[in-house]
Amino acid sequence: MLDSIIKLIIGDMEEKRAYKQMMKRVDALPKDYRFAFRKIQHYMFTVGPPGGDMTLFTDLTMFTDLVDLFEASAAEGRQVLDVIGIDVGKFSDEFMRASVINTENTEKLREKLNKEIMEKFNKEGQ
Amino acid sequence: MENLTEMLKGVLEGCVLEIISRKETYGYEITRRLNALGFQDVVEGTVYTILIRLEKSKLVEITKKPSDMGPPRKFFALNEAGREELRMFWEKWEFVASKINQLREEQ
Repeated sequence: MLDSIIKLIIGDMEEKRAYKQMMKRVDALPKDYRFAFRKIQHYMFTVGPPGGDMTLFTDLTMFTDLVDLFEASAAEGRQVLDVIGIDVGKFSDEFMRASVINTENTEKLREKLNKEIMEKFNKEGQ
Repeated sequence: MENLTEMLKGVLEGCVLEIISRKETYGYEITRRLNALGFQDVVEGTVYTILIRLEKSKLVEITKKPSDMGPPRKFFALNEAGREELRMFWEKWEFVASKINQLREEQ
């Protein structure tokens, strides 16, 4: 799992550059925020994207969204724990779920499943 | 009240839509409004997550405005689809609430 993510990230120079720029912003965060970000990121990489869509990690939107939140909260003097709450795992899961662009792929798979099940039972019902 | 997280799932999005419908507002202000209402466990990160969902569902208009401290703030307002979503939310809420009360009252 982790290997494939690293390959995805390092595989493309452009992506690698974007990733580095994003991590520079992380490095510039106050240390509590930086610590929380890295822990959350590691957790997300470990459990993997909901629905198995790896673009969630390569596209970087989710991580930059999280950096945006942290930069703003830090600048306004709020504590990281007040921002993410005490159930950080739950926060991370929800955050990933909200960030998954309902990819055509999953959408298609879902439609296919519904169609196959419906066809089967409609046939039998007649 | 505490430990409402599970029960608030789904309902919180409606609450955020309602707050946005009153006036254009931003994440932290929405969070404070919910906290003041008595939902102490709702943190800024949770509201931010909901706002990401609303943005992806194209229910809100976003305007960036400078803030006294830190980066510009994203202000949220409902668009037509957002207002429709809010109307549906209250309809569903009325239904669920009345059915639950009915269940409780039944002898």
